[in-house]
Amino acid sequence: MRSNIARIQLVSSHPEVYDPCDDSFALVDALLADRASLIDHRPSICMEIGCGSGYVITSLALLLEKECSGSYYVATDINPHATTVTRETLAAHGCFAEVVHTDIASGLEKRLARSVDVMLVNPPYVPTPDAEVGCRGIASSWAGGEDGRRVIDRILPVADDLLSDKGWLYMVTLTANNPVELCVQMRKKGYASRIVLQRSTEEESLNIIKFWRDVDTLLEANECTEVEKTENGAGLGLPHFSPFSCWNYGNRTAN
Amino acid sequence: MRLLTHNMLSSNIKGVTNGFPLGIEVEKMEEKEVEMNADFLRNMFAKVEWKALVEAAKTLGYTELPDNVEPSMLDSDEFLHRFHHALLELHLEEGALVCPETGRKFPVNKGIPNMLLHEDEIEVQVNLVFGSSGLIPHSTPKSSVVKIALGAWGGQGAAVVAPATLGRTIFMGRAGARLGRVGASRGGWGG
Repeated sequence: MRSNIARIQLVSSHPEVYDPCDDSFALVDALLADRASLIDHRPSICMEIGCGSGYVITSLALLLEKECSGSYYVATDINPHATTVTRETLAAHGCFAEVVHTDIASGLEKRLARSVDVMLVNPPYVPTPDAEVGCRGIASSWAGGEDGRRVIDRILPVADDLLSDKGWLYMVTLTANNPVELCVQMRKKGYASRIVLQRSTEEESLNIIKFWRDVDTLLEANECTEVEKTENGAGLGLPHFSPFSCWNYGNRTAN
Repeated sequence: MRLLTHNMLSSNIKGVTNGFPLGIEVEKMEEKEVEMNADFLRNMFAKVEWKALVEAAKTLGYTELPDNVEPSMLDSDEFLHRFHHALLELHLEEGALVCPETGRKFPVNKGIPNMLLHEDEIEVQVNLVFGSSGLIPHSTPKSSVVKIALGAWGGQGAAVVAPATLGRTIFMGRAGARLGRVGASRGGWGG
């Protein structure tokens, strides 16, 4: 029987491409755990930013191939070797995703605005000096600058532009990236969020966050902005709610 | 690269206001049969810029798409098949996409369009630091990859990147602290 995620033996590799590791496995595990909701979600357009070896986008395509056979998958990477390796990994599994060699989603932003139903991001999250951010080759898979946030902070506004009204974003973060703050930032843009998987490995403490557009959150964010405007006449200051309130725990599920 | 993707790409060059649709230069194209999904086509119909698709398909030698369309045509099987073929089965494998405003070419190799801008391709100095990827074993978590790379840099890269001074010096301290921590818990990364 065909496995419904990518098989590690079939994942292509290159010395300049980050091989699937704990972070990639954690993201795919989070997708597996959310498989039933993903199938109900019936995404038309799925996108991965920073596809690396192609392990994650291939896994998503395999996970949904039976129930959502007509989805369109796009994967981008700034590293040219990664785009080639991703294409090989997809081909080895008999899947197709469009692979685009670009920085985040440059070139796709205009036409894919408000169109992406599922977005996956395993960003370069490792705290490094800012000077390392933007280097080519394998370094682009890890160099995250201060707090590991330099690239994440560039990706999130793009994700906000691209995600459809029912869009979901799954993102890998380290505890060092301050996931709570990320949730608060996204909440201001109308996203509910939940840490769907936490995993501590010998090297790092991983959090997979799922963000989704949420009408109540958007209304609350707008009210919050209004209150702040009338209170101090300036833009957004510190949030008026506990940072932990951004985690949508409990029985509520993503719509 | 499918024509659906061509339909979703536009020129990302700074200052370009009318970057869509990109022209197509064909060196090699392929046809790959895939199963048709009418629901997907109906979903995509609203997103696709029809004129751009018709022109792109013609460039790849497929002239069966009608110039004008309306949503009611989605009820026709024949139309769906043509739409499906143009959108998903015609692939540009080798060639280029051309910015309609500046004429800048974005190469397409092995079916992968390269939308990276020239300015983003200048990172030579930093590459010297991390260039020794042979030192990095496979299946290593991102965090440790950095630590190994930093170790390599601290040991042998310092002379190479001597011009990058102050920030690097501070970095050495941080890296040293991290390496020390790793060394304590893992018995060192030297070998």
